[in-house]
Amino acid sequence: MSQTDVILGVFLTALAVLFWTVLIPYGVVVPKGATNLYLAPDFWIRILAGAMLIVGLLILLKGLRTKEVVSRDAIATNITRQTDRRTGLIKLGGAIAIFAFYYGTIDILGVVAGSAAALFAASLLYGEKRFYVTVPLALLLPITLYFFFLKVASIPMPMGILEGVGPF
Amino acid sequence: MEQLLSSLEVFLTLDNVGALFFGVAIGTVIGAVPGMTATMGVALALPFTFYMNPVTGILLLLGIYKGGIYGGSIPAILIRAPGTPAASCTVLDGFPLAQKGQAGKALSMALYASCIADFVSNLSLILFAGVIANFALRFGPPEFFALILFSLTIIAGVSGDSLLHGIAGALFGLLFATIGLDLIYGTDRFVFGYYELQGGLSFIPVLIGLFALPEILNHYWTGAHMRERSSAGAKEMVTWQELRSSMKTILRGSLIGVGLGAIPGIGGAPAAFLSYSEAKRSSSDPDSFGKGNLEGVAAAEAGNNGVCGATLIPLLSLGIPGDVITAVILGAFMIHNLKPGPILFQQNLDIIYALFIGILLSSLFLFIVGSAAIRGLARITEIPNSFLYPAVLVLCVFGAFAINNSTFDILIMFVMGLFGFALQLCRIPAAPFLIAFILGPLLEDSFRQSLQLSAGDFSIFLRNWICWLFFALTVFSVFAIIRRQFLP
Repeated sequence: MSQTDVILGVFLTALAVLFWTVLIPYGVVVPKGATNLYLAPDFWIRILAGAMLIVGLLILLKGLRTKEVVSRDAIATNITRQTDRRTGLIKLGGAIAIFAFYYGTIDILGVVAGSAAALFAASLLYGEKRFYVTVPLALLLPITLYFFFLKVASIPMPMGILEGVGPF
Repeated sequence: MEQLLSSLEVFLTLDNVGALFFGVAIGTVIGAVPGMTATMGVALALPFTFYMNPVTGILLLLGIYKGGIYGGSIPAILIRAPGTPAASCTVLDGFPLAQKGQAGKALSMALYASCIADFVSNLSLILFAGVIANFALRFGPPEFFALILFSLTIIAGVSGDSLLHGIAGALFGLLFATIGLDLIYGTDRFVFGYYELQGGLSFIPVLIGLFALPEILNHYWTGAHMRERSSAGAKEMVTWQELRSSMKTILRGSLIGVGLGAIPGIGGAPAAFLSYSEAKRSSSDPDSFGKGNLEGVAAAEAGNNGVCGATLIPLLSLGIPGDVITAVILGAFMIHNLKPGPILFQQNLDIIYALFIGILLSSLFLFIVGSAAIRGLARITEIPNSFLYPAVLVLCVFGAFAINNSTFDILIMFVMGLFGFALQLCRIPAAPFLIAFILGPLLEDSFRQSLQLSAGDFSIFLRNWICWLFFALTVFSVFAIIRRQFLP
């Protein structure tokens, strides 16, 4: 049995059912005047959801029929992998937290300050300790990009707490 | 001959040559920054052309257009963040090559393929504009539907080990493409009260999210950041032998680009993917595609640059802009009281020929600018991951915001990043998602427009030989896919 395929198959099947029963009825507005089935706004989406149901079931079936042979070496590697995976999971959680912080504070901190903080944090999460490079990079790159977009493309970025400070 | 000499006289001024060269250089830089597209570059430069001679102004815009399309391949190869939708296909083999320490080879192959395809496309524009424009004009919604349906069979070529996983990815792409206002009734589809979603999901945030962010997350997840990439061969360029062996692929991709580019509304991305799929199908080593095959880079870039000259065919010969960029260029013509179409060929032949000379020269300028750029840029792979990927994250955020001046697009990018990472974990390739996301609206719109035209009569889909041809090709492709997948 292929665990990934079984999970994916179940997920796709459930998602297709969710589309048919909840997402399409509540998410797609079908006007009362839409009498022609093929031209209705939900016609195409229902076909896609139907196709997803079929593909989900096929992947589930494939997953159930796949035989995975686990060798001794694979078990030994797996133990090492478990330890790596824990570290990986923590780092992955950290990266997602940085993404959330970056987006969540962009209106308050602004793009430049938010980017500087996110770049520094992301670099730290990588295990980088050469702060004499990280700090100037975290400051200079967002400022350079800010002026590049402002001067070349006339796109002002939200500045948040730096609004009106110095050249911003 | 006399006309040609007079056109040469019109073209050969320092202003014209300088504007073209400057345009190509600026376009390359703009295309190389994720979030800044060739369309944006051309639109920004348009006001500067008001005070220029018409030929100078239009050449500046054409230079930016061509440079921008090529420039998109640079971040696609180096940091897995395609600068333009058309460059998303280049990611498939370009980035794995850069990871193997062959960024120089990937960048130079992209450059050579782009220049050759651009030249072929320009020649087609000059020699066959009339014939191709006539063919392109026969494309109504049913022909469009048949063509797009055929293009969707490309998905099989980029699905990797499992076709079912590829189809699942494509279904996600088609579903994501339905978000926004309905084309016919103007009602909401999956908008859920967010007015920002009414225009649908923007391409660039989706592209960046789907490719660049999962790569960053993957580095944290697998600990790949602990291992530095090989950069030993970063400065090594493509050899003559390698270029020669990819020449057939480049020429085929160029012709695909010309064919699709001449049809209004198609764009470079489908051409790149179709060219890639054909290259993989006819390769003696198809399994190496997607893992860092130079021919894959050549096919993608040839397809997407082959479109450049061809999109000008309907513009110059009929006055119909094929995409947003040519619509802006049409604006530049009109500002100077020039009306593209048959009359322009009668009344301003010297200007047309001068533009043709400039367009041909742009391929050479692209080569010069590109060669200079890649020598410096290939060294990006020498930057340690712990600095490079955080910097890429910041670049992605700036790029996503710049498209619509909207922080909502940053949210879309992050959500797509997490979605792309989930796809990776489920072994669903990103390319089928992207192809379907790009082609989805075209497919649905042409399907519904056709049925609207015929009042629900399905026989409209078989109204002429073009429809028959593409349906036959689709059936043939599906049959070939089934045979390859399920029969020994």
